[in-house]
Amino acid sequence: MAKRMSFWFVPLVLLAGLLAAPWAWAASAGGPLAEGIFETGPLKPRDSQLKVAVGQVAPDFTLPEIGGGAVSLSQYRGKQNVVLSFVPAAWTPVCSDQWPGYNLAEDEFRQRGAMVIGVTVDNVPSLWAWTQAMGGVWFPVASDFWPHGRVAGMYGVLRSDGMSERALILVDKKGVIRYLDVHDINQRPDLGVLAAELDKLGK
Amino acid sequence: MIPGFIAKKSLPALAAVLLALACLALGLPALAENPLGRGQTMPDLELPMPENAAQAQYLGLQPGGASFRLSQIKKPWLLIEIFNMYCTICQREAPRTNQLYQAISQGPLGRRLAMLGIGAGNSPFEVNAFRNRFRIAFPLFPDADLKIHEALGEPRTPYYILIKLGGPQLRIVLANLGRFGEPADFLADIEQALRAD
Repeated sequence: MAKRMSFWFVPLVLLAGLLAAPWAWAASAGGPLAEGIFETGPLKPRDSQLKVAVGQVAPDFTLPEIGGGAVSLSQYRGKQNVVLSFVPAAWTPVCSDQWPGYNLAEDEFRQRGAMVIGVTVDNVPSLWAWTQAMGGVWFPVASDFWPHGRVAGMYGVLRSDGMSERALILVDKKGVIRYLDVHDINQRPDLGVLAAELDKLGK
Repeated sequence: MIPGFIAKKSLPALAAVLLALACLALGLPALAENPLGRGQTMPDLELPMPENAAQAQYLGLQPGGASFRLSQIKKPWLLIEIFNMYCTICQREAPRTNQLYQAISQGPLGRRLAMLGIGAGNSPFEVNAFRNRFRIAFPLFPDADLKIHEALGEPRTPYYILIKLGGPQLRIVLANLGRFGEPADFLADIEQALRAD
């Protein structure tokens, strides 16, 4: 019996140790959001062709929203400037930081009279679970899942793999596009640059 | 199918070893991020001079100049928080970190231990947004190009390092990756590390 146990001891200890080491390390700085992230690795920085331009009226859309209703761009016309924040996909790196940052910066947006509409090509249940892991978000999050990526395609920010670009599109109260940033998908846009663009519009 | 020199009864053990090696290979990318830890030398980082005179005074820095190095801080100990404004854990920990700062600055350690934060990947605007949201009183500095983060071994955030200043080299005496739990408990860990050094 003792011989049989010693036969298993070394490989089992090795296996347990190797399994435990990276996961324990990763969990130590994690949480429900951090632990659920799928590492995509570096992606092609940009993989689409814009179909809108600064100065043009932003195409209107209505999409299902994680709160259970729908959100339209036109509902903010005459009321608030809108930051359309397209992010590639739920549960991916960078995206999973970007909106928590906008959560923290809620006052920065509100002081500038701006509303954020988050848009991804994920379905509502996935988006709901993802934003819950963030602790919730103060702005509407729209699902461009079906027809898949229709709105992203309309703006020219739908990538060939079905995800959207990481894009910021600033629409003023008249519904006119005032700023466009189709960002390197692997990097997070500096919030300071966006705030400066919002400052140009006034409240 | 199975080579004769491998005894049939040893197959499970062989499978376990192979699986373990596969896990090791898969785990390597995560382990490659290797933050500086206890006992290691801390780089003498260069940071911008705080615009706030009270914060420069808190660190014991002479006014004037565009930047300073950690070794110029006129306290024997320094606690650094590496944070990221976009990190949800850092956001949730901010009130506790404030409590820790209050406990340090208002207690007996206040004269000997300074505290500062570095926003990994954050621009000055983003650091200010973090400061304003949580009313953070200790000095915060941006690390927009992640150069400091790289110098520290790319730790996940939040990451806390306690450094002994003075002497020919700056030395890390305590490191904590992730949440530190109750501020009083972490303060006790800090005090123990100072006593042990």
